[in-house]
Amino acid sequence: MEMYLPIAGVEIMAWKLILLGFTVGVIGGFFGIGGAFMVTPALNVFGFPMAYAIGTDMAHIAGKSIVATAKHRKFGNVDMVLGIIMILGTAIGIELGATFIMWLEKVGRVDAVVRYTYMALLFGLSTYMLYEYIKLTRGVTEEKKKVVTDAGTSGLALKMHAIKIPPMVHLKVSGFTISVWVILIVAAITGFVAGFLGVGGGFLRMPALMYVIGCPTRVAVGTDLFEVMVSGAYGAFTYAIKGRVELVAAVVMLIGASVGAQFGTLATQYVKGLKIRLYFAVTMMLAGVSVILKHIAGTHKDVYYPSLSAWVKTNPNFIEWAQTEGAKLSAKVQVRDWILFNKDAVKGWFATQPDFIQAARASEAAWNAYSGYLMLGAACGLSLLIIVRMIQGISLEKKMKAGK
Amino acid sequence: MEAVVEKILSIAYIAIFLIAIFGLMVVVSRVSNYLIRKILGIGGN
Repeated sequence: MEMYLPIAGVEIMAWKLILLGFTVGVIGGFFGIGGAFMVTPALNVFGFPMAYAIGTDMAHIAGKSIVATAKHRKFGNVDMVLGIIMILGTAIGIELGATFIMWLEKVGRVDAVVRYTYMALLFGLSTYMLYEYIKLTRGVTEEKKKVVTDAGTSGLALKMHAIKIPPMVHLKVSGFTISVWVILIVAAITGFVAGFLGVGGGFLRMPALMYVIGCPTRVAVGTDLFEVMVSGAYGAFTYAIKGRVELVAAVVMLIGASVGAQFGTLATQYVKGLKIRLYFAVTMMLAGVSVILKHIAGTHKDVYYPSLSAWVKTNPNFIEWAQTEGAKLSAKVQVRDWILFNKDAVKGWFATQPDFIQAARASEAAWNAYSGYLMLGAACGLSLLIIVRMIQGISLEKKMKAGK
Repeated sequence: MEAVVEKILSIAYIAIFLIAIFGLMVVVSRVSNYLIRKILGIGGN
């Protein structure tokens, strides 16, 4: 069924949105992340302009995490006290991160700095998690592997627990006592990096909750989702007010996501914590590759964007729009938005340009598509793997019960 | 004054719409949860 989405001006098959919502629902429920790094490039591949892809994604993330958090809470995986303290620290951190990015924008080339930091974080964290998984499972017999279900508390987390600066808080669900200051500082740092990178930050908080705070894997997943829910709802609301949420697409994706999130959360009950960490590491590594592809697309954009931007600034339509409707926006955003809303005029400009500019434009679109397809493929493959593992776990449990 | 009222109304509409779609999602998830458990043959929530 082909659907026309009036706000973003895109025609799309409904099943694609439902499938995307479903797969990211499974992954989000399983890892405790929003999954924006997967949905946004995939929506972009489906023809959504980036600004709408982000807004639509926010609405989808907020709704999906409500369902997934409620479910994790039933399983006893959400540490509410920890989650609420984390939200406070994250909010402060995000504000500081956003301020820092504005300062970077003033002094120079911010895009490359953000992208390199993002890549370093994704590859660094995933390599560490893979190393940890291999260390814990290498040379271990099949019998022992059944006993080792989670990685246990890391050395760094034990050091954090030893800090006794009051006020101390006992986290019943996580099963330890820790200084409130430690939680606030860890949340502020992850929030700062999230604000700096312009992402939700689930992929940072989840490992931080496990390795620095010392939560068991399942509690890290559930508690992180609680935070994703709050930040997603806020993000969805602000983007909706700015008119950047394609609500029909968000609703269709949410239908898929609400079913997917059921599978994802249920799977955490049947897949070992250690395996959750392994799959998470692989997901982050794929996301890192996707960012590299995006970076290559960006280098092609650099070839034509200065000339396009210069042409836009001299266009009478733009000048009139910038003085009236777009007056509140910064000069950079004015150009970006005008390009977004005047696709035909921009197309006409490209048609008159020399071959190298047209080639750069085509290469940019191609590399962006590779990035989107990689994330789409990864989302489909991972969600399938999670469902298969869950079904295996359920049948194993049934066999064990029958054996008794 | 009129502009302020218009702004408040638009925010209220968006809030109501978001709450409605999240409500719809809760219904879909409850039904799917029931069906998944039925199909996979597991009890509980």
